[in-house]
Amino acid sequence: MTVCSGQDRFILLDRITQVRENTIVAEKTFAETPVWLGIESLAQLGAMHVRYANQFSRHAMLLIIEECGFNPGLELNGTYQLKGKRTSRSQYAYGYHLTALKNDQIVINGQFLFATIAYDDRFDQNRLQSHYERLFTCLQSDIMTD
Amino acid sequence: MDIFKEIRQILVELLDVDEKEITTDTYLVRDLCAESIDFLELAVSLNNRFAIEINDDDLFLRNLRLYIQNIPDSQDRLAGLTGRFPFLSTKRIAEILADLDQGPVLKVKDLIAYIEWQTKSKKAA
Repeated sequence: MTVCSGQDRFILLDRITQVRENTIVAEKTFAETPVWLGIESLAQLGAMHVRYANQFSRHAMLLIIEECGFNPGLELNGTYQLKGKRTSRSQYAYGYHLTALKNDQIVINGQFLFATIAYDDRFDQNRLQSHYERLFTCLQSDIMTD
Repeated sequence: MDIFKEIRQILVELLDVDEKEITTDTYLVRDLCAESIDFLELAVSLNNRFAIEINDDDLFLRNLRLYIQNIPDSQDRLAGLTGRFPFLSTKRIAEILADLDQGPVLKVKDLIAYIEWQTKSKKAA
């Protein structure tokens, strides 16, 4: 089965601008983009922070979008600030409040739940851990950290 | 704060079950058909509601059977498990050991015990 996202690549974050213990901020510029890709951007942001919180030692995945609000028919154009705040956590699961803002106005707003699992035969540690660590480093340009 | 009522409300919303189906002696898997994905959601919900650290492996007795398997023949199983699950009483661990063959043993009262134990630990810290 081939899944075509319509994207040249499926990294929907341009730059991570701030990362702290419980929060992460990034940017993404969209051009005539349907809203679901904005939601995917937020999911990627949350999963990236979960990996960061686990020192990339476990694989992270979106489990559930508990709620997500946006205007019907919304199309994304321009540069958006993507913000994530961890609201809850357990040993293997993490809840995040994720928002996409344009000109300081919230355009997508949701509660996302992520899970982590150990690398295994399906999620190859040798490939994935270094991939995500490298990606995270590449996305950090002039980053602010604690 | 009534921990049981709070947990029951979370389970009602999470598993879409009637609150009448839930007592402290209800089994999460056997009676409520909770699955692994539900346990992940439950763990963060409990963290959110009670502001306590949640160790999924401990809370859901995930390694219980592995621990039992690793108890040396020379050691009593009850004594071998007591230190592994400090939030469970000796009486409850004995119940669990007697119930192992019937299926997953986790009950609502085990969640209550974990939350009470973690809350006390947090206050003591």
